[in-house]
Amino acid sequence: MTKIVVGPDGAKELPLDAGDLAQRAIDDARFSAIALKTPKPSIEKIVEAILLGDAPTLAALKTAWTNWKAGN
Amino acid sequence: MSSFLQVPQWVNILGRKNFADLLGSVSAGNSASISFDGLFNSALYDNYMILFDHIIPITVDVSFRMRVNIAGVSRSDAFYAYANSVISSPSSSTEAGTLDTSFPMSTNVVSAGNIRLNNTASSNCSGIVNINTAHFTSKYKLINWKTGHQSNAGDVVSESGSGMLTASTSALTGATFFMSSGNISTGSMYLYGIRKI
Repeated sequence: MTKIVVGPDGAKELPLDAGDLAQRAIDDARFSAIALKTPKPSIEKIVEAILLGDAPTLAALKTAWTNWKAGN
Repeated sequence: MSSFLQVPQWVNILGRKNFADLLGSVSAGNSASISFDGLFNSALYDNYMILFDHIIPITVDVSFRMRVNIAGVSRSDAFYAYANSVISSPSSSTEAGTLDTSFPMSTNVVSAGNIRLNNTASSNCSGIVNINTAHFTSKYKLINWKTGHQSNAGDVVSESGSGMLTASTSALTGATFFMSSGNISTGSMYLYGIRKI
């Protein structure tokens, strides 16, 4: 695995050192955690489910809302 | 870098100064990161512009990121403050951070309809980044970006953001670009210095 560094001597392709690999692991963990967060459910869909009395949809949206609150 | 008609580099054949000089360029090839460093010149430039063109990740559903370099080191401090406006056809959102470890050149927001990067050849990310007052040592350096890409869901996404590394007011020596996960598959990047004289 390599990185490209462009400097006064032009572009060089260099192998990743221990510091690069450690930082990459930190970045992967950080962004994976963000990606795993549950998205906020649509307010419009919640209102619609309430207005239509759609109990199953409302229950699913309630679960999604609880998960989103827990992840934020 | 100068063409054969530019002697010296910054005076063209009609005697007019160039607005900007191309300081470096590179193409990615399954690269973990791309850095420009050691090319800034405080005698000629305060501000710099980086263009990136058709950047495609190896991995689907990722975010293209940027860090600033200080003294040749890509800073990963958790002091990147930014605000990023994300507009896409299925859903729009804002993205802001005060303790992030990099700037989002493309969003990492999860929303209805995936608006992060796809890794197909047609779903490229292109844009422009301005690095302001890079050499000043008493000010935070404002970074402004305007980028666009086609998302994982196939929609056009437009982004516009500003940010700064609030950990240090030291002069910048460059910038480093990478994906939130996986490598940069293909794409080109260009660094320009905007002339102050």
